[in-house]
Amino acid sequence: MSPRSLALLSRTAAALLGGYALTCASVIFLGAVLPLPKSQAILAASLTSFAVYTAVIVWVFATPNLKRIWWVLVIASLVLTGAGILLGGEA
Amino acid sequence: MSLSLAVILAAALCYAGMAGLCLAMDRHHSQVWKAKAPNRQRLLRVAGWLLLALAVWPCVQIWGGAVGPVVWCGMLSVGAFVLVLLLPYRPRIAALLAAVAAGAGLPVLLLTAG
Amino acid sequence: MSKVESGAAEGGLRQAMAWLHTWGGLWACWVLFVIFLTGSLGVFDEPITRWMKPHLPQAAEASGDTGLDDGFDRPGAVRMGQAWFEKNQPDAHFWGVGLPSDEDPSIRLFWQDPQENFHNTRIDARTGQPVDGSHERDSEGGHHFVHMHFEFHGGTAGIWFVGAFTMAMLVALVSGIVIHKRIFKDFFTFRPGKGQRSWLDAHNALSVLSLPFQLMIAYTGLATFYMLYMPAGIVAHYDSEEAYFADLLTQPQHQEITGIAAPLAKVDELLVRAEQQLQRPASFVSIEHPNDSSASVLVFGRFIEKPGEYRLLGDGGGQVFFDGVSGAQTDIQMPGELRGGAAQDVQSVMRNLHFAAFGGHLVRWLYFLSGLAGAAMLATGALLFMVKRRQRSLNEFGSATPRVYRVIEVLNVGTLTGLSIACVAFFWGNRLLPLGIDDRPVWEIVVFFVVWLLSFFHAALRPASRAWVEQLLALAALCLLLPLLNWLSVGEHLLLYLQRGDGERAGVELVALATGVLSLWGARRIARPRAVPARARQRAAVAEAQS
Repeated sequence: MSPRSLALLSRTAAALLGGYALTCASVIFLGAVLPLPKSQAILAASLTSFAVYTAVIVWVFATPNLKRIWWVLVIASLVLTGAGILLGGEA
Repeated sequence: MSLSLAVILAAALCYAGMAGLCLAMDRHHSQVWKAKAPNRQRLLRVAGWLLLALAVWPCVQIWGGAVGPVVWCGMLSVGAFVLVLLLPYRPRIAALLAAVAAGAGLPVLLLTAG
Repeated sequence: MSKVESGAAEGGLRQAMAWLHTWGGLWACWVLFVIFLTGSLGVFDEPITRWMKPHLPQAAEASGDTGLDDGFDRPGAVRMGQAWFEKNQPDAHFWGVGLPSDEDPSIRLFWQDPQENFHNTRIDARTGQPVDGSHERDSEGGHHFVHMHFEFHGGTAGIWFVGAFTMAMLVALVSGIVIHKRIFKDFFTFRPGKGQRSWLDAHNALSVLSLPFQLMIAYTGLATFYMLYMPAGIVAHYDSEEAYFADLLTQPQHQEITGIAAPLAKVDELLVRAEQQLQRPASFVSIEHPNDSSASVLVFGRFIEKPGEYRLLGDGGGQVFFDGVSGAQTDIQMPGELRGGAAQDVQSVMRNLHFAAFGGHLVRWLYFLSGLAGAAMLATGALLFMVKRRQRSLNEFGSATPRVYRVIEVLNVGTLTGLSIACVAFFWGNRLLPLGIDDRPVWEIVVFFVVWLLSFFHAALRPASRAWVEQLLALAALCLLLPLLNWLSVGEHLLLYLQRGDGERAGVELVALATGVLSLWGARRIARPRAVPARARQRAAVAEAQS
């Protein structure tokens, strides 16, 4: 596989899988911090998530620097998930 | 107001309103009139917005405050589609139809509102 | 493959989005076309079902009546259902009884076996015996289109499949908005008879004029299945989906099976108590873990449409929860009562917006037309891709380019006209398959898929322009002859429907006739491209010069 197709594959994976991971992380985080009862916060975050996912995919396909995309996706996903679980406490 | 009257009225006002906005644009204005006419175009634009706004009334009358605006959005699309399909083939008829729709729709609207 | 990716995230934002729109849109457009066409037909699932099942009564106007006595013995039906389950499915984890009504006077039974698989059957409300459907035209009816629309008849995997492509739709819409340079200037622009220009105009006009609908329908579709598509929040913060729901809707907690046998409370008495409190007939009784000490009973109030009253929220029929052993009432949610706060209200409105059942016939027609506009937007997009490359190859795939183009062309034909043919063939299958055969509804769906598959073979074997014409002619023939087939097979026809005031069944045939005429016109246009009328061309030129 040529380097260019590899780059495209990596970019597509970043958009679909990385994007989904970041979106999940955003739901976990918002579910913990939105000033609503927890179940309603999760529902609100879940309903918003499809817009988040769309925005992330568009961003991945608009940003030239592939390495930066992956770093942002991985770090943001981990930070948001960690913060969400810590702040959310026990179910 | 009966359901069918509301549907016809909303469709007529949406079509006429869209036609007003459309014919106010230079490109489409020239499809019907030979020369540009800034005053007429401004008038068409104002009338267009006004007619579209008035089309909310019959929708809300029948479908209520929640569903009415949804129906109105759908009618906007329908009005615009009919116009876009008619305009390139018969621009004058499209404009005439809009005049008739507005001319007949407005009095009916006033009668039912009063 | 070395040049395929040229363009990804290259150039400015608009160029990057153009690349994303072209390639993302191309690979998604065929599946999305299926979702849109079958979804549009699914808006009219009930009329289609009535057409396919001539034994069903004509649709009645909603009376809005909430009286408890509608001539059906619902407590008796519950006793009958319970007796059938005790005898045939004593080990099931879940029993459900769909109560008889004007819509369907039989008792519908649903159960989940110990392996967690769902089943259903129908029994006669007078005799308690299984319904003998051999004389009826047994059919999946319009539900076939609904199921194609949201899951391709593929269960949970199918729902995921549709969800993934719906996300592609959202991305394509957003990227399409970014690359459309003159959304407002070109708002009303359609210049026919100018080849590629006309296709682009048509694609733009269809998308822009129906954009609110397209965004709404894609988003609300995803929101309807948010639990499946986006479970992360629930998984991270709750032990189970049931716990989340109980918390959100402040309902009794879900009980695990204990394995301790305990006799079930008298469900028919619970039904009577529930109906008196809800002040309306019940539609469904569900019994969780029957004959276990964790048993619970849930009675659903009937959904009652009040004439002239349209709402996007608070249309629920209410529900009453009981302990399944003691019969004690554990919760009641009155009809129209809202739970779960603003977030749940938003979700309910989104779901109702998607399901198109909130505003009567006109809203259904608007959804049908807007859905078809969406399908046409996808079709024009797919065609535009090929029209652009038919004159001059862009060589995106190196030496394989002609072969890839050919595959795209075949997929275009087989999806756009092929699926349409398959949809009509489904109606033909309904009238031609013999009555009383086993799994008759499944065979109708087999007809649908086989005809669809054949259309791909046909498209692959014929030159593209011939394939388009031949499939359009086949579509026209099947559509235009459908009323005749109906008359010959079951003796009903359009005039009879109109005379009877059966607008639903008549509508099915009128839409078929209109589709037939349109496809005939399309076939003629492709077979004999006509010159553009001089007047239209002249006006278009003037308009072009002044824009």
